[in-house]
Amino acid sequence: MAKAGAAWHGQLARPHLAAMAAAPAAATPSTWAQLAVRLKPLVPAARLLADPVAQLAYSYDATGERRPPQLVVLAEQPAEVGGVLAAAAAAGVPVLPRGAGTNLSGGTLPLFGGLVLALQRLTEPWRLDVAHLQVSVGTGWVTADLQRALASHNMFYPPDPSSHRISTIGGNVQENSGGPHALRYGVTEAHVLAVEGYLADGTPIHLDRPAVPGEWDLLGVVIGSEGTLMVATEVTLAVQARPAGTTTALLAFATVASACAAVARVIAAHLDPAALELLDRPTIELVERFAGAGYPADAGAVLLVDLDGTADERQAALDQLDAATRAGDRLAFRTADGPAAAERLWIGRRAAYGALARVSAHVFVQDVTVPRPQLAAMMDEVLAIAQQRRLSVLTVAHAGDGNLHPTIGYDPANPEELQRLFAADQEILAAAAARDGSITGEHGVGIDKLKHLPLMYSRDELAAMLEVKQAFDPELRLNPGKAIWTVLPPRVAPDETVPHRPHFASAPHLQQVREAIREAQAAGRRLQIVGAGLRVPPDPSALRLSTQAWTAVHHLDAENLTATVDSGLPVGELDGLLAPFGLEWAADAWGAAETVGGMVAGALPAWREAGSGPVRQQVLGVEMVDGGGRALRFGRPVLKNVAGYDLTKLLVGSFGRLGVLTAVTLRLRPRRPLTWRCLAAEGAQVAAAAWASLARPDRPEAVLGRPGQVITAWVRDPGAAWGPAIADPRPEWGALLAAQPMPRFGLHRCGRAGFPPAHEPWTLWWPLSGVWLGSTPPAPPPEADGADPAARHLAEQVRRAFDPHDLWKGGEA
Amino acid sequence: MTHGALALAADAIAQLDHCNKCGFCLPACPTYVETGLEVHSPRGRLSLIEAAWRGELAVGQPLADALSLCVGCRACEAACPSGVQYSIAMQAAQADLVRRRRRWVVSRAAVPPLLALVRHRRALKAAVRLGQAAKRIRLLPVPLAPLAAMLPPTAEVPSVLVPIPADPAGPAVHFVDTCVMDALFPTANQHARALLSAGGAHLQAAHGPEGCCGALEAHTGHPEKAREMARAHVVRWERDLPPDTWIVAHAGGCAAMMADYGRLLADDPRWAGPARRWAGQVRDWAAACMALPHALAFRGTGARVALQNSCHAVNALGQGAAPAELLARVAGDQLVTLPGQDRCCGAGGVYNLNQPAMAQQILRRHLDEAAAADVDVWVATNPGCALHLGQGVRATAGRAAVVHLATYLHERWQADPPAPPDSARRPG
Ligand SMILES: Cc1cc2nc3c(=O)[nH]c(=O)nc-3n(C[C@H](O)[C@H](O)[C@H](O)COP(=O)(O)OP(=O)(O)OC[C@H]3O[C@@H](n4cnc5c(N)ncnc54)[C@H](O)[C@@H]3O)c2cc1C
Ligand code: SF4
Ligand code: SF4
Repeated sequence: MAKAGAAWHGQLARPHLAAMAAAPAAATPSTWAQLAVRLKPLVPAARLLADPVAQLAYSYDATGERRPPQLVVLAEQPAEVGGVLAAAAAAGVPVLPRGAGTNLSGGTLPLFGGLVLALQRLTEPWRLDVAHLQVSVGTGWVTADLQRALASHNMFYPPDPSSHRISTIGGNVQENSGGPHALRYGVTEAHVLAVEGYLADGTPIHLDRPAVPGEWDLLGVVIGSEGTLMVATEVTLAVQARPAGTTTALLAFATVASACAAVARVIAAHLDPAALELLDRPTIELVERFAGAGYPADAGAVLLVDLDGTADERQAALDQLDAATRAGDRLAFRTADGPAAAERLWIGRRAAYGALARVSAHVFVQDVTVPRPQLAAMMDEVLAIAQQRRLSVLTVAHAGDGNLHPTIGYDPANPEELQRLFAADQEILAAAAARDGSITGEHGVGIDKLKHLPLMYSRDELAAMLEVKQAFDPELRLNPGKAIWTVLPPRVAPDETVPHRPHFASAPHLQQVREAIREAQAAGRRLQIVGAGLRVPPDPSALRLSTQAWTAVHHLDAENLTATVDSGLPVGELDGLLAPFGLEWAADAWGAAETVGGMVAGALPAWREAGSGPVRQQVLGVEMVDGGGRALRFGRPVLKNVAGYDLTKLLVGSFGRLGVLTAVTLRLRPRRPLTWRCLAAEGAQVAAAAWASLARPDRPEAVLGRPGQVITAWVRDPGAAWGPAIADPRPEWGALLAAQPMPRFGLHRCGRAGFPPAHEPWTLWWPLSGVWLGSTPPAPPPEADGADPAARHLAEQVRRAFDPHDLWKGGEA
Repeated sequence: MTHGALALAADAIAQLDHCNKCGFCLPACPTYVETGLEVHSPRGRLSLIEAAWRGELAVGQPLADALSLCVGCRACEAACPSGVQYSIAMQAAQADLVRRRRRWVVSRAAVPPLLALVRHRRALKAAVRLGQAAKRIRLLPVPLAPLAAMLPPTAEVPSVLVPIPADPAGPAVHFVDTCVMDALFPTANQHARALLSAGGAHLQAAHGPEGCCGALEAHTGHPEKAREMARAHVVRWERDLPPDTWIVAHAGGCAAMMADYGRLLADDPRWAGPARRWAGQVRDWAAACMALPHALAFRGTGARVALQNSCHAVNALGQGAAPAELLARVAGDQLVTLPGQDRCCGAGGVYNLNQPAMAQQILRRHLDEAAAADVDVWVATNPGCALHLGQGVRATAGRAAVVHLATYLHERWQADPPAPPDSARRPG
């Protein structure tokens, strides 16, 4: 048996990792022996494996490399996980959580050896709450099994990575997996309500979505953290009604460029396809050889489009799709009649990876995302890089998301070819980053892209990620060497940025913020960040920093449906800019004077959470200055991005307690006229009716409860069944709230299954976010948040990392 | 014992190379489904073989034990998007392990005597009779004890069938009397021939003693012996049969084995060509029946009927749909599709003798499904599966009667009036 953690013959050499991944202290054989003894009473012997055969079988993932762990524990009970983690902590050994081991980035590779915690047998519990559209499951559930089990209740969990027949929900959450249908329904992140599990030292922890001011979204950071922050044993997922039906269409084009142009027109036409996939010519040729999907042989590229909805809606969407893609050299447009024909069309897409694996010894799958209008140029660039490096590449893309998978066959035994492959890899990633895209859209960083993180993040940004890691796992023992840098490069310049991208905030702008911070620090006073000042009363003891002078628009990409604007821009102004493009920002202001930054930091529930999702889903990136004066940018103007920790989530709803937002990148939505309806209902009927409306396949954009009323807003008006039509009530509510600023009004958490308590005077209730607004002032955060003590402790650790001088402590600034 | 890394031929190494560790085969694998252990998954086994070949893992009893839990159902091959032929790598690994030290692979003693028996068909028949007798008088040489548990309580008495005149215009068919079938279900062989004739097959004979197809040898690490057996068949077919004759076998495992003769004999200077050609002529019996010129008609008795398909017919030959299609033609009986119909039942040739615990564990799911579906008749397409299911039904006091497909169909066959000949489908 090779030494645990050692690379074997035939493995890719990764000497560079030492410069970015801290190696855990080496544990002696006697440590391992003692640990095994400690584990004996916790886990039955049959599930505690330390023989060479088992070490080998848990030494790899879908990247194909092998590094053996010392110990494998097959967990079956959540409590065992806690016990094993505590024992491993006492022994000081690394722990690697593992699902089905299908990740494509080396995420479960025991780089430094360690204890592999195999979680795929963790399938308890199964708690489906059909009424409140949520399910809690053990993280070992296989994605497809979960989807099947839900389908038997006519429920739907949309994320569908191509590996869904074997990947676990735990793995999906930790990689923030996507899949073809993420386009319409969102990636895994959009569906996770809560996670339960253990920290590296065995402390139990429960994280859910922040609901009230002053909580931050630690859960949003855990999602996509590749098992480096906590071990999840249970996940609560939002589910929804299955779409009424699906129509699959195949479009063929003479060239990739014309197919990409068609994609751009589909997005620009504000069609909302469930999936929009692209296959290029080499892929078509290969899959036709093995799968015979029936794609036109002369096509330079094909698009596969799924349209969901009722028969009428699908027909209308199909007509729009036809019209939007007719220009240019479209060769074919056909629809599958029936599920069997649709399945045949999809076979080609699903077979792409395997077909290449049949013809090459090994397959290298790349995974980058670019702003959607740049898809064609990026595809060209990939092709040029491959040509220059004498590699043959084929590309499939989740085109609607701008997420490409250039795939290259190679022979690991050919070192010269490997060199060319690595060079091409670096160039492709650099090209994506230079387009303000992401070096990984859904497969994760793992160890594979660790070295490329500086293409997207500065030293300070990498440091911020490391600080979050240290808050969760101070000993850096959980899945070491993955996802983020645990060794930082030496600082070269005082304000380093990523080569191709300066800060959005201008130098004077940054200077102003830093001076305010210094001043507050020197004076020992709090620094109150103020936008429009609508949501918070002034704090006379604090220094004030107003964002209102910062109103620049850095980019507005109507084809990508994104914009980056300064945080002080009033939403009314933003709306005025977007209206001519038929777009809007679906975060729903409470008044036109509110600033965009204030809304992001406030992250109050969005009126239209049912249709567009909560505010966090309308924010793709943030730029900020933290309490240490560091200028940091997280997120990109792309729909899928799993490079490093998703710290954007942390800032959404941070209420100005982690830093000053200078600019924000927004996800825009097509502007759609809504029909508002008001249904009279009493008491518990309000909740029942609200949830019934949400359980419809064509659920409303907005569902809100008011005492005696259920208010719904519809894109396609269902008629008087939901009460008489009313005028858009939002201005009225906004005025009401503006007249009664917080904290005289307070947001309160009741949970999805809850409802405002009978004795409380309340004004509005958001069922999906599980919060209500009433005239009871909230208790000061974070005590009010109902989070468990471990979560509160974590929040405090994270706060300290961003606010070392306590500029924002103890108030909602 | 030989030291050093596992020795594998190039075609086996190519399979290891093409495995991307994607894991798509995991849910298809019956042992992985039971244990949830990577070690018991196809991906795990391929990795173990690869590591042993690279010298990263010692070649010894632990490796042999880990590999020997594989049933050999080849469901992983059908599930693999990359076209990895797992069985090639596995058989090569088994062969090298056996070459080094026999007892690693065949650690439980039932296999060697059984291998000897399949090499000598008369002895096999005698052993079966002995086994059945011993079952009654509780006396049996130890190595055959597990086999006795499998056997039905009384021997099947060959029935005398009215011969059906051969149709000289029909496709030429050579029906291979597969050995275990011949010993255990001799009437099923007769039923199978009768229905082939009734469907319009022109049955052909190849002369000389019919040997085993070699499957058992190939799967237990004796490729040379398997090649020898394969060659014997090819020689006889080449000598005695018209070139377009279908080679039809009645046990999916044997059919799959014979369909693999081209690869098995690829290095044989004299017989590589004929082996490749004949391999292409192999059909599973049910698929052959479906392709015959006369559509067979059946009338049932109102029974609830379920099918246990042959893994190899499903996974290796891709002919798993035919048995269900045949069953669907039985008017009056109700075909219930069990979730595990096309999944391995755990019989796996001699697997249930080698790995009784896992074989029973796998079988359990199937038994539960059959019981839950209230099945009257459980039709198996492989003799080994029929024995395995029968034993399980008896042990759990189940009510399903286990019969072989040919026997079930023959009992319900409507010879009169014969189905109208469909001349359009006649070859030539
Ligand atoms: C052929 C193929 C196609 C794929 N297609 C897609 C696709 O379309 N979209 C996509 O997004 N991905 C895809 N993937 C990648 C991969 O399947 C996903 O990342 C998947 O979510 C991994 O799930 P898993 O259960 O295998 O996790 P693993 O690979 O076992 O683990 C993934 C990461 O999560 C951690 N982890 C797992 N479970 C837990 C837990 N309970 N608690 C804490 N940490 C945990 C691990 O440490 C690791 O870092 C594909 C992979 C393959 C091989
Ligand atoms: S499905 Fe094929 S390529 Fe994937 S792990 Fe299994 S054998 Fe290997
Ligand atoms: S042959 Fe069957 S039992 Fe063996 S690895 Fe493949 S699927 Fe599993």
